[in-house]
Amino acid sequence: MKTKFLFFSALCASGIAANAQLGFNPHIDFTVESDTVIVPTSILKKQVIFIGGVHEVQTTDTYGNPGGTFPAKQWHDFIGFTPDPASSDLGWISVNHEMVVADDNIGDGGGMTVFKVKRDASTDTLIIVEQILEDGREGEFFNVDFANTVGETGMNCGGIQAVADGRIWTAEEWWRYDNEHIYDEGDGIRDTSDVTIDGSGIEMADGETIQKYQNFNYMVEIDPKQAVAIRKQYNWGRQPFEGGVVMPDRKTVYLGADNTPGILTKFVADAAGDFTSGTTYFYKEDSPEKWIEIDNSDLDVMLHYQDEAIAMGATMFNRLEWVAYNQGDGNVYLTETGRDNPASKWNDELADGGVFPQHHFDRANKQYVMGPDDAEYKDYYGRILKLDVETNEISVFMEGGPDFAADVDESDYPSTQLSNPDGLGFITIEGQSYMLICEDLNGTSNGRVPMGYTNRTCEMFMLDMSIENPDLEDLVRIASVPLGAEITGVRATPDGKTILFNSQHPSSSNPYPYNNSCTIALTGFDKGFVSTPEFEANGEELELYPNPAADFIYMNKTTDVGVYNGTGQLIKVLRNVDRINVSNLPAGTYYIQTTDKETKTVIVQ
Amino acid sequence: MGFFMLFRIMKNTWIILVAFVGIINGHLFAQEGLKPSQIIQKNFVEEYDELLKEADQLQQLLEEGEEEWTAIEEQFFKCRIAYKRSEMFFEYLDREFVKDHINGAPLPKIERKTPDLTVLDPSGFQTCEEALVEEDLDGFKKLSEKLNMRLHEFRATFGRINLTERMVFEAMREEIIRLTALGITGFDTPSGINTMAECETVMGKLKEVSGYYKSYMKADLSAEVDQLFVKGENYFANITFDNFDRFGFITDFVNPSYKLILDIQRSLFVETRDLVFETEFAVNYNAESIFDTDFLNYRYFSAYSNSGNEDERVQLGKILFFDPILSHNNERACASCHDPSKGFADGRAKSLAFDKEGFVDRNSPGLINAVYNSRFFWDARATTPEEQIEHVLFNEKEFNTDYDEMISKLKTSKEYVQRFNQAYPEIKEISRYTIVASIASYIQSLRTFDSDFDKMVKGEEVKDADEIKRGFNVFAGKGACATCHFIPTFAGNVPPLYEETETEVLGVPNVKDQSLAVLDEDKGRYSNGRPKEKAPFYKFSFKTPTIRNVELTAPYMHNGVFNTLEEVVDFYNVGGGHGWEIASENTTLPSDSLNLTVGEINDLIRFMNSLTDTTGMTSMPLYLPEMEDASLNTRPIGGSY
Repeated sequence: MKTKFLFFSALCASGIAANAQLGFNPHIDFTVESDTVIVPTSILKKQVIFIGGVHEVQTTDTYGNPGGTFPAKQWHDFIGFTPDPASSDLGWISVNHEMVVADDNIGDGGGMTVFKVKRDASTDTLIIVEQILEDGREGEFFNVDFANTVGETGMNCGGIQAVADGRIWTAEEWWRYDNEHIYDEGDGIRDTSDVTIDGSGIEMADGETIQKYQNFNYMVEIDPKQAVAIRKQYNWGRQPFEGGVVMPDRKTVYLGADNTPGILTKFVADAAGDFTSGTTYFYKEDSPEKWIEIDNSDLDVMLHYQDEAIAMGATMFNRLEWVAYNQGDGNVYLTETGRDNPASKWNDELADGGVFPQHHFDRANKQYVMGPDDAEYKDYYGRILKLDVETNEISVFMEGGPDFAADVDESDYPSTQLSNPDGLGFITIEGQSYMLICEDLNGTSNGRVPMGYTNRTCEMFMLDMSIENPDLEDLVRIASVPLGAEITGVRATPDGKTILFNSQHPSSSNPYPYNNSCTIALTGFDKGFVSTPEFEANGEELELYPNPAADFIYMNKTTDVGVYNGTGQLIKVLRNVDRINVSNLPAGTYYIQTTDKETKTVIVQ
Repeated sequence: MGFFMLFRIMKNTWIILVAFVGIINGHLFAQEGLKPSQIIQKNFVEEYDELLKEADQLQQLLEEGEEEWTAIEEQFFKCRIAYKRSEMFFEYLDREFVKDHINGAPLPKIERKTPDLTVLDPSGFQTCEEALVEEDLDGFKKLSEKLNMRLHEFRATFGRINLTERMVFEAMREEIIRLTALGITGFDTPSGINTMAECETVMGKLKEVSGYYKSYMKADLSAEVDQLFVKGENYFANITFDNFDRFGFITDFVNPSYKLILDIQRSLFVETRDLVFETEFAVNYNAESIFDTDFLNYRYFSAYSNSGNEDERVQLGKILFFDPILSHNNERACASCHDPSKGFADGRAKSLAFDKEGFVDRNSPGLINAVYNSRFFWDARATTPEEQIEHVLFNEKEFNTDYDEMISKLKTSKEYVQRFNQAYPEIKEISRYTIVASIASYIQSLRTFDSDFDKMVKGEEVKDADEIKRGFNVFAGKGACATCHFIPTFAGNVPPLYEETETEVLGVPNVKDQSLAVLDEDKGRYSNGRPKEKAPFYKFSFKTPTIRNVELTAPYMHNGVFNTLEEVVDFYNVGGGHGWEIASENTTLPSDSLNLTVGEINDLIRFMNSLTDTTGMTSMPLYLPEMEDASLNTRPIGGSY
């Protein structure tokens, strides 16, 4: 008991009496004047432009049911933007619906919704444009007709927006392996009769008959202007596609497959802008030429693309997601989102001839396991890869994490963190290129969210591409996201003013309409967007630096903070932070107090 | 980190199955300026290292070729006790890791967030314990080695732990729920051999952790803490799994301590969760009793809950609920199959279908406290009450309608237009959203934890108290009912977070005559239309319904095969579908008989019947709004069939 006695003595000596407080007083009368910091209205304007299940789409005659107006599907994912050089309107927006559901009017499976926008001349905000299509449909939102054109699509996840002209492809991700699977006891694709391919313009495919399930898992080109599908890209292989990019030459296409193993594919068209004929290659890192041709004149080879490529020694990635072109350096970046324990998923393919990329060997070494095929090999956080289009070398651009202790100072955790990157895009603001990264967490364990209670939030980050050898600390979170939402489909408009993204299956506790899948536009990135205000960190006396673009007040030190409202009521407590998120504070006066009782008055406008 | 180096905490020694009581205060080595959370974090690290030592010891034993099960079992249970000493923070800090690799249920699961369906084999302590009971040495070796590696893996993340006082209080209160709903019920101890020793360990740990705050508390609170733990400890004297007084333990220790720890947190100005997070959680942290109606937060479970104007919406939703105008033939209302006088079930095995053409596919469930679920329907196909409603509206056997039809009818009623305008002043529209949000608001209002049993827990006197207590003790103990019908909802939402609704494979017969019965062919969750749930282990799997108001909601099971609770209990008593020899391979019910006596069965049923409470929820609207089409104005309240 001696030690206990010492404990109490110590407490007394340091002046802590019984019933000492360990936190912030729930109510303080702030009578003493303190410095006032003004947080101006955010320069970014947020608009919800398309709400799933609420906004109604115009449909065509489908399955014998007349065209009409019906609530749009939910589960928004990819967003494509197609500029309109011919009018003063901005362009067409295409939104994927990542689902499979029977629907008498919109069509079974997943699908896409398209609409046109223009800018309000005075505020730059987006306005939906009324359109009349060639098939006579009139309205604001249009269902892309797949059922009457190329056949239904399913789990429309990622896609392609061509760099030069904004042509759009939607990706059918979820792998379909038999007709019973797609039929799903009548809840999925109800017509499972064989498909005779017609009108794709791809010579080896047209006229061939395949089973219905084999008509899924393609990149599918659509016409966002007329809301119809054009072709399933049978010559790019049948794969669980997620992302891709058509390069500025309008000939070269890079395609990623979301699978373990995921194959990276390249297609080079014979003529610019005509993707019905050309050469298909898969990536093979361990060969000198890197790209190995695969016979795309044989439909059977294309139907069994992964098996064929593996047998020829293709490089195996751990779930490739989005593929994006960086205008800044002309290279291609891709996300490899990771899978916790991939061994059991790619060891069969290893035996069949597949090859692991070098970076997975390096990671396995660091983990002291035998290799990427070791059951104990872990890939919790994923990464962003860079494909140098000149050398065709793939390198790790940014590793997710922090994974290993050495990556980042643990005391910085979790403010520095990126897990399971998925959506990827670029925005050019005043000539400067920024990468946009969406997280889609595979789990919450192993530090993918802070320890303790936390609601799974997936975040969007921005990275200044002029930073040499960037690391996790250079990522800037972009705020203003509905609570609990998963961010998908990031897309910047070419004028650098707006970032579009989807909030997919958001938390049910958000007020309407944020409890539906929404397409959201953030506008104003051209208005002097700065990532972080300039100031000296580790200051002695507390100073606050509002950042109007990011809804944060930065502090010059890391400390605990109590936020009080105008009547002195404690409304928020933040521990061990160097910034305060003010996006959810209504306009008004607030008091900020630190553990050392430093106080500031904050006026949110 | 430097200040941590200055202390060292005594190594604890104890012997398996022997309780250690009251040795805890000796741990209070302290350092000037160090906060309780810092001492507690240091202590957790040391406890965890002890766990690793025990786990390594087990591996060494196996590597040395030990084949004596008594020796292996002894070391395994030493590991379990060490795990239970770390459990409070281990689970709190990385619950997903614990669930996936350390102490998850011994059942296969689906890999999250993958673009295909991948089934993961179970692993962790509970799977090891099953191998132990089956004396499967090879299986046990593999599983325990895997577990050992995972335990070491987690140790590498400790640099990232930064416990705050708030986190300690949250972890303690969560551990009280875990101890109650998963511990004393035997949920995570498949063999039952070591259950009580593990629970006592957890209680000792709670006492120890709360003890670090005693010097900060006012004297009366501090004395209350002491008294409470003495009371709790007394329940563990001379007990077995079957005779442990769970009712007494909950009323005398669990519920008071759940409140007391919150009182301490508030008195020390330690911020509560609502000052830190802006999102909703399923557990309402500010509830003081586990048996309060608002122990769970209904807003978390519903899609349209935070929108304001609740009273008007509930009233409008109630009228819609009883108005057959919503159905295609203007004859069926929600109340047709959800009768308030029957706990919002309908007394039929399966409800009549649209136009009286046959029956719907499954039994109509009660609606009181239904909101406290993250899955709806027997096959778990919907995730919110709002989504659930739409399935009924569109179903050809139910309302057989669509929004255009519903909206155009409702718009012909001046009263409806006015009520919608009042309830949604910013929208002023009869739409898909406002219809569904209104009905859902009414369903959200049907919540109550104020049955005789809830009153007893709170110390009130009720009739047949002794039978009810005994019955609860069977329910939560020997009868193993509470390992699926979790305390306090007595439904399938999994503690301690109550975020996930479970389904189970019981082997439910198609008819109640055992000599004729075969397994009911309904595939349940496997066929719920969710591609990511089409896993073989979900065949014949059905949602675990609440036992609250079970007195009113006969007949029972997804197909209404049993008419009485006696029949249901008899079915479980022989091992469910196993006992009837119709169980499928993936049945989740243990195959052994429960060996309940007639007296125990009577008490158990008396307990279940003490969970009835429909106070203030059975009223119907006095009239339905007038429609333009006069022929509709004679439509009966609640529908004509």
